[in-house]
Amino acid sequence: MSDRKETHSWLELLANDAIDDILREAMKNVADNLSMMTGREIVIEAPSLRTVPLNELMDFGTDSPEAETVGVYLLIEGDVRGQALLIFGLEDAFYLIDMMMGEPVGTTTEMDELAQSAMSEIGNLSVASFLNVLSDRTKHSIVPSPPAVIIDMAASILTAVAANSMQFATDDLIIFDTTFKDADRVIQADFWILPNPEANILEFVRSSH
Amino acid sequence: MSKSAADVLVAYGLGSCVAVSFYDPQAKVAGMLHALLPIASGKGRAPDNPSKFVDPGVTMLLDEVKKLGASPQRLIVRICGGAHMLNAPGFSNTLNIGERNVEMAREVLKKLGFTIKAADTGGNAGRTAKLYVSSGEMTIRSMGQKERPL
Repeated sequence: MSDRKETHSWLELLANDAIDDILREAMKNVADNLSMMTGREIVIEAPSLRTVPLNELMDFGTDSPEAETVGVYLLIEGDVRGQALLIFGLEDAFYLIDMMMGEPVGTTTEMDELAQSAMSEIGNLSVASFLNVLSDRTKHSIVPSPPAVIIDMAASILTAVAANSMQFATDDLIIFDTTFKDADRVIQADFWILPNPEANILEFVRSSH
Repeated sequence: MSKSAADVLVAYGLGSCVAVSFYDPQAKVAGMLHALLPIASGKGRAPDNPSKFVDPGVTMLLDEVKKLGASPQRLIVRICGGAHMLNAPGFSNTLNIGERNVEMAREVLKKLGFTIKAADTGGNAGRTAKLYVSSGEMTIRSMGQKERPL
């Protein structure tokens, strides 16, 4: 891969002094845009940034590796490159879809074409809202690709995306554990950013906390 | 790997990963590899865990089951996994790792002189694979489906 020249971009980007502030602002932007889209007041609990070494990935989240999961997956392009993955449990995804479509909760019961399209919008909006703030504040061009929706076992989605990162010799994944909430419900979501290629994010996180 | 009859070896949610299983029906020794990528190639760093790669993972697994008393001549070899998970339009630059994992598994097994008895590979869906040590039976399950024998 000819990505060498970009090796330090993620590092520079995340080494920004104001990174915690930027991440908070980015998540708030996600929440605001999701609220607008669904017409509900959606709050995103303070995201905690952490990294998972790729080698530990298969042991990560092994509580329910077979859990039915909806992932929205995008490539990150521009000055820094990588992958973004937003993951919801199937029931939480149904709930979000119902809210977005303005249907009573319980209307959506399967991930048909319409439901997938709605999830793809939700994922697209969330990731783009996040990356836009990151891009504005760091003056890097960061552009998401169109989203893909993957419905499968949690472990299958995670490992497939991780393997795709690992071939670029990335050492660590960045994960934002987030909780989306509206008045009625708590929605657990994992928001992953997988830098591409060898930015040593772990060093950064250790040095900044 | 295991030679304990009560054990079931499980690889949960294989996506693009591939599982390679060995079973010696006489010694009742079983082993299963769950590999993330085809080869532990040099990118200037040694892999922390070589067993996450088909090569050298398969050879390492073979050594382990031999240590437990399995005979290579008796081994039943099965492979599964290697789905193409990230195949949405516009993602032509994401390589099909699943396919490469399966190809590498077949190549390594052939080099070691093994014939694959059963395979359930490719497609777009993740799988959970189980290998029952007492009987040597193996099952596959995808999301929303029942376990099926391999």
